[in-house]
Amino acid sequence: MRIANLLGIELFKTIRRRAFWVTLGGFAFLLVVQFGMIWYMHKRQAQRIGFGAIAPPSPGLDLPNAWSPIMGATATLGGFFIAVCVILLVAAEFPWRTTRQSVIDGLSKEQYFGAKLLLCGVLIVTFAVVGLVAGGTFAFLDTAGTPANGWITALDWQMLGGTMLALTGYTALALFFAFALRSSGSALGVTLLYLVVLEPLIATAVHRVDALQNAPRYFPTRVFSELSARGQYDAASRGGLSIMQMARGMQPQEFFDTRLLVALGIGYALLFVAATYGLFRSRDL
Amino acid sequence: MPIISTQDLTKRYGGLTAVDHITFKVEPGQVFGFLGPNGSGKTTTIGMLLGIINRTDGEISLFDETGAHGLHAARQRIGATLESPNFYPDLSGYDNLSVTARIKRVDASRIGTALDAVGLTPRKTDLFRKYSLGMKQRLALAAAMLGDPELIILDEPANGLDPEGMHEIREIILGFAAAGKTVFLSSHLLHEVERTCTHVAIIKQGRLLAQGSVIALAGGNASASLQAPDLGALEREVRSYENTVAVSIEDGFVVANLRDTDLASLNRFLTQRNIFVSHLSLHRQSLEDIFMELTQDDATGAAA
Repeated sequence: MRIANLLGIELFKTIRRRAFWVTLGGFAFLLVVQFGMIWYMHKRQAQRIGFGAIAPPSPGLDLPNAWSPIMGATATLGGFFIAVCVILLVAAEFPWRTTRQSVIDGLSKEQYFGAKLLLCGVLIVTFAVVGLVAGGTFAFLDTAGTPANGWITALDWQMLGGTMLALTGYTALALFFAFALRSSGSALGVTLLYLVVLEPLIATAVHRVDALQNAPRYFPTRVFSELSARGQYDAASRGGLSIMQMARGMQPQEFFDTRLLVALGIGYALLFVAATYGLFRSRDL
Repeated sequence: MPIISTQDLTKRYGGLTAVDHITFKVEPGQVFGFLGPNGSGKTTTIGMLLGIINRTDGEISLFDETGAHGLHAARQRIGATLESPNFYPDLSGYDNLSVTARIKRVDASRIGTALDAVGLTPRKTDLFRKYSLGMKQRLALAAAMLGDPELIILDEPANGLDPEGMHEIREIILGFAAAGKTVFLSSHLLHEVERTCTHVAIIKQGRLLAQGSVIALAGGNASASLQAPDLGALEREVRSYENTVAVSIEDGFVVANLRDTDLASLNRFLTQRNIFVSHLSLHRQSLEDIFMELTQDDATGAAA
């Protein structure tokens, strides 16, 4: 079966599923609230300054600098919502037994799995676009005139790649739990447990072992969250951040080598996908 | 060329053998009933045929195709539904069939024909979760017939239906058979299978107990009741008839277990010996009798 057919089947189902619109809408709403607030505060501040009020200047959302918080929010908030979306769309097919029916109707297990990967790809692009458009709209409104160094810089493109990779990582993680647990409720619960409790707990435990003190940095969600951080791609911003942290008496943050970070992100995503496929292939439907 | 052929098909879950070295064949045009009590291994066997349950051992051939790629290609010629109807609850009946049509690469114009055939056209825009059980079963049949498959596999198609619903499903299945399709259906409803199927296989606790045509299985165990003025003479002559297996006198009738169902031949034999019967009737065993006999024999055998 051609890729276009498989994608067509998934899109036909997805646009009719409430879970897709609710998660995408929830993500867009929170971004609009977050960036709308920043834009509104900045606007009010500007008005007060105009009336002679004394207030510290707010950086606002001027482009291209605003891409950094926009992509950060897209990766973290989007990572959460895309994970929920993937679980609701994929795991529900097991109790409904539509997974087995799809195979009965003629898809091979490989084709079914491939169709889900295509769906994940579409979701990653969709969530990224929604994130960038929601944040970018306010940033565009907040930017006076044409920025001297352009609307988007080479650094922003690098961050966009990192953001997409972070979304891919969260998607792969969610896909694994969806296929492993075969129930939306269980998969959501275990994913949240992993993100909020399990990984931080293991990180804390590992951090106490001298030889493994640095190991938690390499844990999947740490890697995913670092992928959209500006400091990972920008030496100047990294230096500034270190100076600020030291001035506050804090330990300066350690950054990954960019190539290592990207390799880890890709590696984790592939590992989750491979484990998911192995599990799906070996188990009965 | 058999449409379905299995050789020593086996499925084990840990220490439990759900299907135990099952070998059977389904020929083109047969309406094949796969009979067995609940939990006997029917669904597991069908699951292995359809590729959704990995077999532990044994061979499967569909349309003479074996091996992973061959079987996948052969399964494109099958329409099937397993256990309860499996559809997206928040999609309409029509949209659910659209998904099936896209998977089977069937033109969307065929959906209307399939819905018409099962009488669901007036409710095609209703959500699947709002359908009654009978409507869900009918939608499953519509999905199975999309793509004009050569083999239709149905797992307990009349499960949970009222008599009217059962009648509707039976008519649809007989319609498939009349159109020359091969039908393989599993059921524990013996009378439904007897009314629908040409051939049956009987399974219990994962083991195949018998298989053959319904007529052969039932006819092979026929009995005749006879009456004549002289019961003693009648009994003697019937006993000497070549196709008689056993004879007894019960309630004023001579009851003979026969190897075949040719009563005309028996009557001719008696007339030639000056025995003129006042009553002659054939009692063919029902599928239920055969099933009970086989499964009880099996239980006795197992106990012994």
